[in-house]
Amino acid sequence: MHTSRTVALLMLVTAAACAKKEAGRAAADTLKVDTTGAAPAAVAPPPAETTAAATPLTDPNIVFILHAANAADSARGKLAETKGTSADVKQFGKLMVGEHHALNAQGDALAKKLSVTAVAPANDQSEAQAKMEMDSLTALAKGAAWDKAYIAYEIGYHQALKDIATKALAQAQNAELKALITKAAPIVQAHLDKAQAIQTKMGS
Amino acid sequence: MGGTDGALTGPDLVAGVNAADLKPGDKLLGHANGEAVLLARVGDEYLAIGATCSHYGGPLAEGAIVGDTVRCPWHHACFSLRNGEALRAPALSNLSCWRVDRRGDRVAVTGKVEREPLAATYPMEHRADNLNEVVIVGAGAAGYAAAEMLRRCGYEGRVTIVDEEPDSPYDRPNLSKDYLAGNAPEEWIPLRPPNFAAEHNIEIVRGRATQLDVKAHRLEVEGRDPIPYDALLLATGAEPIRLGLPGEQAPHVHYLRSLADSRSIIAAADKAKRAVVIGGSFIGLETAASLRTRGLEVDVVAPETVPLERVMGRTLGDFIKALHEEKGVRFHLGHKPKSIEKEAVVLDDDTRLPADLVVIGVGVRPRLALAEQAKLAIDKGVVVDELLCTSAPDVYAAGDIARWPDPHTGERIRVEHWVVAERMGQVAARNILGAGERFDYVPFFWSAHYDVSINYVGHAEKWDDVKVDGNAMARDVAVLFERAGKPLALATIYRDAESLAFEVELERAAEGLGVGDGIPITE
Repeated sequence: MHTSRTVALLMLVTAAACAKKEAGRAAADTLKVDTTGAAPAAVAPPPAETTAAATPLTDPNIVFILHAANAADSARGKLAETKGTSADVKQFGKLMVGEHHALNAQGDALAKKLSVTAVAPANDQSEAQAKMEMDSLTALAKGAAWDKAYIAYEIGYHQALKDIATKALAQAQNAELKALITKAAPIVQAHLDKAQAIQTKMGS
Repeated sequence: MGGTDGALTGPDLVAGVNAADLKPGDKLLGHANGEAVLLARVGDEYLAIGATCSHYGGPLAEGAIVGDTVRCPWHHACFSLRNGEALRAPALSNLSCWRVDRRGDRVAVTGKVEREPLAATYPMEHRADNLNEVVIVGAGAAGYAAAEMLRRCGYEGRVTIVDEEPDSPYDRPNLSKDYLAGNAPEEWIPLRPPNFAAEHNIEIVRGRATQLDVKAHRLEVEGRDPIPYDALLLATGAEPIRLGLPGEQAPHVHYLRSLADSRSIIAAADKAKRAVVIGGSFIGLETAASLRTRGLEVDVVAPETVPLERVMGRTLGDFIKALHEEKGVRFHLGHKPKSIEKEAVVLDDDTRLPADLVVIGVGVRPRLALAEQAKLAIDKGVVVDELLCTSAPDVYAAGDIARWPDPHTGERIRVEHWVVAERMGQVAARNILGAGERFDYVPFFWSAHYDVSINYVGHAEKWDDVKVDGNAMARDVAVLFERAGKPLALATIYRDAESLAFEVELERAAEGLGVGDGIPITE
């Protein structure tokens, strides 16, 4: 399951995603159905895992993936700060903004220092995926259902991020990039724990 | 431009300074916890922010304090001394803000104020909340600055920018200056790091806007579903005027507008030896300077007898010409090109100038197709009111395309300056949110040639008097343009304080007894 999520976030090439993207903005309203589901895997079913496993990530790819992941989660967190209802969810959103923004900034600084320009892995759909999730969360009405959808997505997202980090750590060439990933890992784990605790408290 | 990196100077502000050493309106450059910090006194308050402009790293300690703001001497960005907010472009990023403690007769900086990332930091008093879809056409200076301003003001609905270029937004002024000359690293060119837009929930749609339906409030984009809008900002910018010369289509002939254009000139300059620049415009001459810096031989062809005379007057025109000649540029003035051949540019008197690289810079024209098709009011540009609204409801225009009522000249003007475009975008964004803010900035631009940067503040299409103070050849001059005894514009070389002071003077003159009156200015 973890592998499939990793791939889902990494490659994010899915028939469902493409179809929805083409449907454009009008689809945003209908997407809310998806966000009430449990995990991002529900939105983005696993594509061919072997393809991803076979394609090694370069350092520029890793920088891109981490950037995209951090930026997207920070943006969602910002939304949760205002659109969340429970104090836990709002606080969690605020934490995501602060910590993923910081990780993003550290990634920026390192990329600049190493003169690495981020390069998207082949067939990367993470931007489209993040946009779809933002659109659906934007369209979904404020309330308990929104809180649940957001937290469910965040759990799946952070699980996927953990797996990506593991893969990236194994494949990264630069020592400083490895160090940054190593430093990020416990932060991501803490986010995951926190999200799961909120989900348990809300009841699923 | 390197800016003020490097060694910290001035006192350690954590250790504190004598409060009485700063009079109201004074500022002091020092440092705190390893960072350059500017301490300023506004009335009886002591305020401290980062000391380095977030645009090109200009030294704010050499700028002007105006009320509770500081203006950068280099390109007139403006920051709040209270919280470091970037109030005016060309700076887009806030500066750090520092806590200041007054203890008896000492004043000391105690620490940095933590700011929440993505927080709405721009002070916005009135906000209309009934909008969810803001669409911006163009990710250039105006369009992009508008998108960020919407977020800085706390707008949380959708922001979509439609732009057909793959790499916008980027720092266009650099494309003819340091970047083209090989003195600016690649990372200076994007306005923002990758994913900045994503983190701020700004969507950039790479596509061509084909039709604006102002009745249905809908923008059509090639190959996509139409995008509905509650408010739309047209910021389509300008495109180079094409000469249509015989031979112009050849691969060694270039125009310069986009990042891709600049890159292809750089690639060509690697192999070329002799360049001919057609046009004595700012772009043409900046290009000539940049190519000379790269070691190419450069000839400039222009119809006027003194380059830039129409814009900058005789004194500065002569100086610019002499400056370029000193660097080895050959001018062919009073001439037009007739045709371009594989290895030469042929002039109207049949002179053949050998060239393996040709760059044409003869001005730009506003891109009005979308506005014309939507039947917006047009007058050599999109006509906007003082709030930057076009003739169609909920449609705003900013940047190179917009012709606005300028309170300083009393005329409707349209300018093609980067800083003006960014500021228009920012004001348009705030007005979309209901600010009701008049666009009344004094126009500003700068032009760089070798080691000389000319700052120009104000707007003078025609003048009847020119006052020159100083010596252009000595790179120390201020040229004042007046009409009917009224100062319209000031062009300066290394007179940054005067340039800032003149800007404030024009603002006050236009405001009369308005809000800005009586605010002290110090340099």
